[in-house]
Amino acid sequence: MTELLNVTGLTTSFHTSRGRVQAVRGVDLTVKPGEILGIVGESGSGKSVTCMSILRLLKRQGRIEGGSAVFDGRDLMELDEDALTDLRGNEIGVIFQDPMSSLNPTLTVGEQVIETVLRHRNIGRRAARARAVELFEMVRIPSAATRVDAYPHEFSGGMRQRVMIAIALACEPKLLIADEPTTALDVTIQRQILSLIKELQGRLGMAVILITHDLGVIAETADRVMVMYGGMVMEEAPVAEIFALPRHPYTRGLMASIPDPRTAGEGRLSPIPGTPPDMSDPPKGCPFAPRCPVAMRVCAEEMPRLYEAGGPANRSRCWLMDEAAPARAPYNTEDAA
Amino acid sequence: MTTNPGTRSTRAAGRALRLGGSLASVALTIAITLLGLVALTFFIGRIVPIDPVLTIVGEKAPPEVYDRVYRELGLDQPLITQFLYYLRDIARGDLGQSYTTDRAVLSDILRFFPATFELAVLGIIIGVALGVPAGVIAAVKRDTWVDHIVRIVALIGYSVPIFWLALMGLLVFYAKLQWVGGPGQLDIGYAYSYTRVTGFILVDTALSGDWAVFANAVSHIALPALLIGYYSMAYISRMTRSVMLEQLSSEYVLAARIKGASEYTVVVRHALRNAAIPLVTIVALSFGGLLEGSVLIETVFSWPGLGNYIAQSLLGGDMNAVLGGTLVVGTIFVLLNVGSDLLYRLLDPRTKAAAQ
Ligand SMILES: Nc1ncnc2c1ncn2[C@@H]1O[C@H](COP(=O)(O)OP(=O)(O)OP(=O)(O)O)[C@@H](O)[C@H]1O
Ligand code: SF4
Ligand SMILES: [Mg+2]
Repeated sequence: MTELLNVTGLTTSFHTSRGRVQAVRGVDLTVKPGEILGIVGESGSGKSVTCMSILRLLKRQGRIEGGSAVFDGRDLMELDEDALTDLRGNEIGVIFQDPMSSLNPTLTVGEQVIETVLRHRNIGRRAARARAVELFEMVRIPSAATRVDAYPHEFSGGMRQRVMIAIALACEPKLLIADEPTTALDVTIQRQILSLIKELQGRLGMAVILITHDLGVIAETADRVMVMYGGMVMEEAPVAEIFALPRHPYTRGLMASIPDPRTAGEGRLSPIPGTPPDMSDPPKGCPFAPRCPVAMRVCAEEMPRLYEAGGPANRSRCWLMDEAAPARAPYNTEDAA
Repeated sequence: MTTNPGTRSTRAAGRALRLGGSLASVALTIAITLLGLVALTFFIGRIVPIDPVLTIVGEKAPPEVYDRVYRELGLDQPLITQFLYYLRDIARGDLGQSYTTDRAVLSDILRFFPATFELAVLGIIIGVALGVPAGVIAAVKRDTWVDHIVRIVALIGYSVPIFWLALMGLLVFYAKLQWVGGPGQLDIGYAYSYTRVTGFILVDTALSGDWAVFANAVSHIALPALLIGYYSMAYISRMTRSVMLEQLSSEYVLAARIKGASEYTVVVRHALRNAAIPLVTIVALSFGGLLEGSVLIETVFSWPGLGNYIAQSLLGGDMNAVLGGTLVVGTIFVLLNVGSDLLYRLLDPRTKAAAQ
């Protein structure tokens, strides 16, 4: 199947008073129609900046310095502002982490759905309002018909996130970007929101990029996963394979730091020691080298490329994938499982 | 439309109830603040080294006359009694007698206040009409030359003394270019060609039906109004810029962009709508500032306003007039603050519901 989104060589930096922060350094990613791509990585690894670069909505100091992002046949990096605003909210919907601050406090929640519909659809207010009620019902906001007239402060966090989902899906986008959609919510609400996203994805047949810190969420929700670190793609694989056989030392580190549902209760939680690199002065070799338990001499010297590892859909940025690497158990690819 | 009418009316009733409750608490706040203000003017009146008896009887009065007036003024009573009398008088609208004009202070104030108010209203209109758009544009075009120009113009308004600008303005536009009228509200020749009805010179001269008089009034008020309008603009544009910058960098503005909203929608419908809430307070404060800070402008332009009246009374040692004027200006300031606070709460849906 041909790709819905094809990003190549995306490079984004922030020019701050402390110098140039290289947030995204040559990211390639693809999303097929109807699939869920999970992106994981520690804080600061460049997940959000990657997505906001694709939408060309960076903060003031952000600059996209290279790369292309072909969405449905058009390179988003080449589109003019009018074509971009026609596309945002229409063909690409977005939900953020914090539903508390991403709704306008002075407009009713219904109005914020209606304005999105009116912006992109050639229909009247009455029809747009009916559509808002329909969307509220779809995201299961109780008494949708009256709740559209409420203000954001009258909603709980979970309900506000449902409003955000309704807004993002108002125009039935081909792609939904969900940037940590449940991080700010209570655990029980998290489940509800995730299963809602997954259900709607199935019903509407859209593709989803789901950003999260939580590998458990990825395991349950995504088809494919991309692991990011230091503004780069470290590993990419179908979900079933990455959990069965994580090839990259960073991915293994992430997995060791979450409670495994199968071994839950044993409480073996070991976060990766050390901290992510300072992106205003990133290491010249593998960004994970300072923290990697199996780092070799070459690692700090030279950047590993993305190797094909284990299958056509599997990539891993690690010197261990190189033919010249010593065959070291258990990090060798064959016997790690 | 589909709203359940029952819910809606209970909601409206609840809202009305809450509003009533908040009005009561507002009234209490006003009462306490005003009482504090009255106490302040009362004690200032006792502390200043001006002997009210001497002001009335003169330096050469015999001691028995002095004593009689002293008792008539109630100065032999304990302080608290004097204060209660003072309160009673104020409640009756009696601010005492002005020794310089020989009229009741209240009627003096009513006479001079319209001129100050008229100037301040024109000033705030100019300030809002120019300051808000300038601040919004500066925020949207942050760090470009447009922004720099707005900031420099505002900075000049902040740092140049107003009386200097006023004098320069008179020198250039009146003395040299003859574009505007000089000090005072009208040329001498027109002084008796209109009837005082409202006390607002533009209104009264317009009512007179003589357009030459009206035009003359306009030419006189133009320069002082533009000057205080400029000062108000400097403040309002600066505050608008910073409030807008804050709103423009908020998450919901990003969310609006993500929906595909146009730049105009993002700026006006989303950011400015939220900025309007604090701007209400800013404009009210600026207006209060124009009312109370008009002394210098009124002095330079010989404008027959309250500021001028208070300043003249102070120079003449006329404490009743000074304190009465201060009390009135202070009261207006308090009412403005409370009014803007109420408006603020009504504009913001969060406090509208929470205002209990
Ligand atoms: N506005 C900004 N100015 C300067 N640097 C920024 C800005 N936004 C992001 N960065 C930097 O870009 C890098 C990537 O940030 P990004 O927000 O994409 O991380 P993330 O993977 O989304 O992390 P998190 O999980 O915390 O959301 C970080 O090093 C961050 O400090
Ligand atoms: S390249 Fe080297 S340092 Fe980087 S993850 Fe692989 S082994 Fe570790
Ligand atoms: Mg993020």
